[in-house]
Amino acid sequence: MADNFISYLFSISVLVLLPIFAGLIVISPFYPNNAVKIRRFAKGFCVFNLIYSLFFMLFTGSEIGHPDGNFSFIYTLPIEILPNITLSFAMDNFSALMCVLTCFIMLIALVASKSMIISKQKLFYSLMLLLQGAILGIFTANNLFTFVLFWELELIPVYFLISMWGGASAKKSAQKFILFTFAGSVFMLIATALIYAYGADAGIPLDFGTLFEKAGDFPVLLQLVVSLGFVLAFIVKLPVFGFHSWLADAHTDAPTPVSMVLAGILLKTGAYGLIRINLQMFQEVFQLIAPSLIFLGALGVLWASYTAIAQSDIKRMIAFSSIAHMGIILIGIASFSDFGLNGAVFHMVSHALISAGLFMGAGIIYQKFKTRKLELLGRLSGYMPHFTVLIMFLGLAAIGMPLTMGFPGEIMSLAGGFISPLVDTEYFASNLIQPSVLFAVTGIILSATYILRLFHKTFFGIPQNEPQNNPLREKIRLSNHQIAVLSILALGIIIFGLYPMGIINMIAF
Amino acid sequence: MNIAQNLWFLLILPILAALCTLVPSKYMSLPKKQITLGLSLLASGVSLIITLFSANYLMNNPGEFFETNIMFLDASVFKIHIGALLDNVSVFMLTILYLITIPVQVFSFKYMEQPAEGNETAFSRYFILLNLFIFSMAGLILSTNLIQTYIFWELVGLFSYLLIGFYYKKPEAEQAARKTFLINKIGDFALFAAILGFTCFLVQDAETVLYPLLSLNDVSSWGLMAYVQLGPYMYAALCILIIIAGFTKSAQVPFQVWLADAMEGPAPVSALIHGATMVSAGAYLLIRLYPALILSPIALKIIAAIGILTAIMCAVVAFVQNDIKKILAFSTSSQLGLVFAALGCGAYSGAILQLGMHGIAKAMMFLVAGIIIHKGMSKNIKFLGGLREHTPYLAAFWLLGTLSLSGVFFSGFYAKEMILSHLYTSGQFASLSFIIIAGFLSILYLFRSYFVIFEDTYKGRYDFSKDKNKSYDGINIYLFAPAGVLAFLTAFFGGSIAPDFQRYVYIMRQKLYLTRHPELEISIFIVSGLIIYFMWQIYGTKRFKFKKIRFIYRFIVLQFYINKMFDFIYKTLIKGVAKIIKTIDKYIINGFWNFTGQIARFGGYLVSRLQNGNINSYIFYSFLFLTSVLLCAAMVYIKGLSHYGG
Repeated sequence: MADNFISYLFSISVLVLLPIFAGLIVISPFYPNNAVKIRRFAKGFCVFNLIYSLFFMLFTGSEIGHPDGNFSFIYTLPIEILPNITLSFAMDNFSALMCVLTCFIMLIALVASKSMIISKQKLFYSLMLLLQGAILGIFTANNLFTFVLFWELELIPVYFLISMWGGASAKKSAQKFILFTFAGSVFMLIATALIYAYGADAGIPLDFGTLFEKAGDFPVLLQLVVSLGFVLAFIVKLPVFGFHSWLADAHTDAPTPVSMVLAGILLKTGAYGLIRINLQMFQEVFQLIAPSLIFLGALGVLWASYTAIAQSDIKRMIAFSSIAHMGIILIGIASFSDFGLNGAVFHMVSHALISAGLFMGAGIIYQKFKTRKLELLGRLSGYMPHFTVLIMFLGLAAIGMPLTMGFPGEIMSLAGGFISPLVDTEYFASNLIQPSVLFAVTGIILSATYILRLFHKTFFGIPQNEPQNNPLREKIRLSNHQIAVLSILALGIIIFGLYPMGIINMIAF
Repeated sequence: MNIAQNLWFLLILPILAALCTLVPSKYMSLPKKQITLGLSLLASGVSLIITLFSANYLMNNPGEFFETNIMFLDASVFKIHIGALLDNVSVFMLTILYLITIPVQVFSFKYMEQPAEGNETAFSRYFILLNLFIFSMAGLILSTNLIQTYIFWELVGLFSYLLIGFYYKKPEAEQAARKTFLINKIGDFALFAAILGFTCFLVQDAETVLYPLLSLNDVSSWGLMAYVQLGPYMYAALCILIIIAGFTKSAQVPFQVWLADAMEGPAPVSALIHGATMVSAGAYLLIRLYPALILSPIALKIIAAIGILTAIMCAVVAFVQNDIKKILAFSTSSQLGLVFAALGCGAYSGAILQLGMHGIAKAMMFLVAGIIIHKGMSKNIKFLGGLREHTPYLAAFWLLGTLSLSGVFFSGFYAKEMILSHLYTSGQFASLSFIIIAGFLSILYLFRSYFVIFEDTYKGRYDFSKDKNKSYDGINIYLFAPAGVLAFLTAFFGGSIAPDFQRYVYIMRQKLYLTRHPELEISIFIVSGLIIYFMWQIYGTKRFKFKKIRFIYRFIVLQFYINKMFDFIYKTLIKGVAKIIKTIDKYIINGFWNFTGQIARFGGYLVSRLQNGNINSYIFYSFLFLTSVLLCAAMVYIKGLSHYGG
């Protein structure tokens, strides 16, 4: 009985479904339309969820790819939506880490929204909670149906969040985002349907635990088709070079908190899917695709870094830097080496903190100076010295400065790609692996170029215009919550930069 | 071993000193500036004592070393250790580092007090950065493996960027800092690529993984393994990457362009960068990896060739400079060129001694330049002159540095003599003659600076009459004493360590040439005397004059157009290509997807026409799309179920 009780208390479905439920509470007409109450409720709820997910992290013991293969804390909802189709959640170390990250970034984003979102707060906070639930669902799904369900569910809040609170061309950008992701998801849906059809035929239960063991025995053609379908969905989401045009628009037009969530977690769902489904289930088939993915990743690093150098909008520049970082993560995942994978996951976490902080900084600059154009800014360090120092920490982490969090992930992913076991194989494009990783390493120079451009045009440099709301040249005071958010992020970046094993021990691939 | 554990203090103490500086002044009983200086001095002083004790031990027990490691990152076979390795080379470099650091810190106390930025934070910020700079250099010197070297290598670059751009409100300083950082990033890239290349085969086979990975204590063994596996050409390519890395930090041709711009930083920072940290880091990397480089004769030839080229080119450029700090900057490149030339020719011990002796003398000269600037005099040597009458001490210091750097007397003499006798004995006469020429060129520009600044008549605006009858020529003791200490070291340190130097700092399996050649020394000595006399005739008595040939002069002042080349690379290869790629991204990739979207929308338009609907909402299309896709999937699924009887 006690066992049962504990398993109900610590069931993942609570973690996932509670935010959605809370979002519904906020939006319901019974909840008072009082901005402070709504904010406090949402934030308090996020804190609860963060602690709750930390609990999971402490108690989940199983390692991914472990011979046992099974998740701990499997919980299946007793609802059969269709025959053989259930909602099922499970968690292992990797999922737990991503859940904690999700709750953390979401909390940070909600704190940041205090001064950034001033209209229609009720709807905003309920959609954010809904989004949190959907993302947690992706990270804890235990079968493909649950995965796909939450994958699609997450799009609805994002669409409204971007289009209703966003910038000038937000509607168009949101639409672009939705269409891109849907187009990718079509292939994922087909792949899922094929797997279900085959599974029903062969009488195999289709939870992830079984798939880890059995998917390798499926017919090779089926594996290849399914794998390609998933890869297409994930590389649109990640995004990989060629499919990245939605990202710059969506990030630029989204309101600051949503940009933070988008760059911080939403992009990582693609990487999570690649690891969870392609790498862990269809490993042998994925080897065939991986060299090309490394090539695409390296191309993405170069392309996005170059594009970032030429941008004049701060937010767009940061968005392109995200694409470059995603390229590095892709190299790490597709490298098939242990430390490449570890590095990719580490980089997922570090990039979440870095990009959230940088987007927050861009938001603050826009809020104070009503512009994000590099040409119009300059010498902000005189007005906001503390802000400058904090953003410098984040920016230095973004260029992979050692002893910040950006370094270990980068060096591990790139070294993993360079020393990949696929180099010795005869697969398509496998002889391109080492040259493309070397090209990705030149991203070191390029990333320094754009981040320094950002620093020098905004914080140092010569001001082309005076800040509009600051004729007296006084120091601009940031709100406490803004300083708090940036400080926490900078602190996290330093701590895990000095002690990266804190995260690597947690995942331990 | 006890000393090995103590080495951690060298890394922790500067950080603690930096952290204590962050404490707000209201919690302190003494004035904050004094406490800041005291803590920084304490950190460096204790570090120096530890270093000297270890040096004593290492001298009594030759061939021993101290090593300690902790795991920084452990992911399967790829392990990164951070630790401390103290052997004969690193103990020498550390001694030089702290011998320069302590005077520089004292000097900074007074120098940074002037209201350049006005507030206390600037002072604290300076000392925080200074301590962290020392921390990163100590980490680099003590590094146990190449990956740790890379970590601290980047940190040295970062803190020099922050210190060079310390007066960030000055556009020149900010530009110079950015240039320094970006040019050094080329070296970071090269080092990173070399690490990837070397790691590539080392971790392939888990059995052969050494502890720690790419250990610097055991360079020759993994170098040999790499050589065997990669073949001479690939191996030479990796060596060249490492050489590029070393050359960017040490400001060798063609990367010397950042060093002159870096003069925008405060003078004590320049003293530190040139004397013991940033510039030495590049040479130190090659010195540490020398056992690996030695396997590739091409690499050694490249080091020697570029070293000689830099020594001569930068000496020529230094000759036409008028900024007191820029003369010293190009002189640094030139002198470091001698270090590389010696290293490339196999004069390992001589190269290390030259590196150290140059560091002390150069730091001292930068402090003297700093005193001149701090007094409010011009940086342009044309507006100085005749300072010997007013500040005889400074003139003496400068002359001392000049003689030492040009290798005529004092510490520099021992270093250069060691290099030359090695080349003479081993019969490398081509390199020998080039190095001698470079030495004569250094006499030219150094004595030019001495004669123009300290002889002749005074042309500046600063009024010396108020300094009359004050001790130390009216120079603050905090500024005077550090320069004096360094001058003392310049005069006597080299002589005290040189006789036994080769017995302690040497490389295994390499022939030592301990014979001395009085005939070589005496002939160089006589020629040097003649050149100094000649310079005196030009700049002192003005008996001779030489004509400027304008286009050659311009060519030299522009640093042989290398500066323009880097500007060109930055403007076209990076910014130009970036603009092109941005345009392609915007119009071709984005345009392609937009076009696809238009087609889809046209389809939607047709559908809506079919339904006679009049709905303009994009949301509708989206949900239409979603539901149709879900329906399709469900149909496929249900069909599958019924077909297979699930």
